[in-house]
Amino acid sequence: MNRDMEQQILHSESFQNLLKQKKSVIIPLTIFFVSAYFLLPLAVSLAPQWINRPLFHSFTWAWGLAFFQFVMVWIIGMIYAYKSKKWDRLVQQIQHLREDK
Amino acid sequence: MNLTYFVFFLFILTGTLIITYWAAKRGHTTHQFYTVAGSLTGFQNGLAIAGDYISAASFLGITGAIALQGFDGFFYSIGFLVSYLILLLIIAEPFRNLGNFTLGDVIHARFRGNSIRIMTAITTIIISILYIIPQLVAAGLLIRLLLGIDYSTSVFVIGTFMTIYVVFGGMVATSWVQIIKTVLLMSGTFLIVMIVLSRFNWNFFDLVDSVSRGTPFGEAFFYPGHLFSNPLETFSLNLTLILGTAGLPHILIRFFTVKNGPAVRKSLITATWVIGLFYMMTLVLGFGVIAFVGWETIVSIDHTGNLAAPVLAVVLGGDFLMAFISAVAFATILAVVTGLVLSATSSFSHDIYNHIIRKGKASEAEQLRIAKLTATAVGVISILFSLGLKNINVTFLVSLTFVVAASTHFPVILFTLYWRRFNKTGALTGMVSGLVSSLLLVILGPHIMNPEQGWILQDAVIPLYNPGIIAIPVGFLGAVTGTLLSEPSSDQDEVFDRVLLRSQTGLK
Repeated sequence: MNRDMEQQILHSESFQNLLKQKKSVIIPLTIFFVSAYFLLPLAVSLAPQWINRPLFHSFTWAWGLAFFQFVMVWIIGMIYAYKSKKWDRLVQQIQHLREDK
Repeated sequence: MNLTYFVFFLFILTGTLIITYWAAKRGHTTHQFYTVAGSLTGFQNGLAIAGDYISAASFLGITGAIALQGFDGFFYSIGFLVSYLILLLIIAEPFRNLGNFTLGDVIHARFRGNSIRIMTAITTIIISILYIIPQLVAAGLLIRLLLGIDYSTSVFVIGTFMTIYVVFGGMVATSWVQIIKTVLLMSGTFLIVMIVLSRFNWNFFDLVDSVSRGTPFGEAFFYPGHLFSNPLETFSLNLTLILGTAGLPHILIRFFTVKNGPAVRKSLITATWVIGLFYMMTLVLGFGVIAFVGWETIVSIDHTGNLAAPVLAVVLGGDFLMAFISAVAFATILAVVTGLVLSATSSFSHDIYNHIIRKGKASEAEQLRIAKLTATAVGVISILFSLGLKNINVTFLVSLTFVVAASTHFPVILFTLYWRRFNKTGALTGMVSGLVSSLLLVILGPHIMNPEQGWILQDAVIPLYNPGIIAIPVGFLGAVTGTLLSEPSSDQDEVFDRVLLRSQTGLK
């Protein structure tokens, strides 16, 4: 691909839209899962009395937060898969754009 | 020698050799050898990623850690799993779109020149061999224990087999060994979970009650703090776990075995389900060990807890189940070391031999010949190291691998994909500072410097078992400082635009 075509695609509405949509999904999700992930070790270290409160049966809030992270990984995976189908369509549009030139 | 155990081991070895024979007949191109020519489906690759990732440290180590330490043993699993979100959301698809066979390809897509390719190849080979050694040592100890074959013969046998898989079957054999290992591991673990729960009339909470009564910790077994009491250590371990996976070359090269970005996505989503469900099951296994084997018994058999899963199997299902679970553990180790040999091999034969020495002009036949020779050399070197380290505790090498991957590869991959100003100097300084700081911190840390059982009988200079909290920022800082202190290249924008377009769309 030559530089002119690259520039045309880079500045095309489809590509800009793709980047914008990806950022709007990936950045908040990343902030969320990284915060949720570090909440557990930080709470274990800095607020053990809070995290060791009973939640159900013998399990404490620490377990609740641990199990939550498993569910979180699976749900974020599903959200990402769902959103990325739209991005795949945008990529197809970009491919057509290149073929038309 | 127990005949049942021997039959199961033989079954695994024969099965994997048949796969290798089939793989060897399938094709003779570099694309086949390094990446199965991108022909795996996302689901198959997801199973292979799980097979590549779940090591003996996970299967034997985490089950034992949960049995001995309760909540703290489970801590590791969370980091191992959540790290896949970093790959899924940030790294994997752009990485796949930029490269062909190796991490070196991806970095080289942005930065031309030999130095960066050589550096990436060196770090990949170091990480791979550092990770192979503890796996081979564990395999040697496992076979010695179960079959009564001495340690050296055991290491030699497993090392030879891993080398044969790669030399003759390349990525095709590696992938299918990993897929079958995942199926065996998941079914074996599921079987034990079912037996454990059935003995408690399918009431999980009865099992939990039994666990509360069965350890010296009592209810405190379910509280954190047995293993990690130092907040800095806890945070450092978690940081290393979440960022380390995205720098492991044997996982990264698996993204090239599928045809495109959407297939990479499907691979990772499959892998997160398999890995997540596996770790959930290890929790029941760990609790089952307390309930059926007993805390004191497992500590008296092996204070590290690594034999907890096989011992649970023998208590629940006699020799037959024990043989099956031990064979699964054996297949687990085989699959991981095979993936590691392949990643070291492709880095040398593709990056260093073909691109540096032969300037990209080696023929297909020549490249394949060198790849096979390299795989043999990697196998021999790993076997020799593992034989030499027989009586030394090498489990710290697993955590060292994650620290090196997180501090050396992760910052450079991240900046290569997303930071416009990033340049070749920054990539080099980032990798050197990450690598040197990780190695130094481990040498100066309590794994090596320990007045009671260290290689150096002195107090540690850096009292951290997991030095990621220092090494990872040093890796990032090295990359940023190197970039900002050097001139931006004249074609910075042009190159970054091309990389951005290709990494986000797959267009070439």
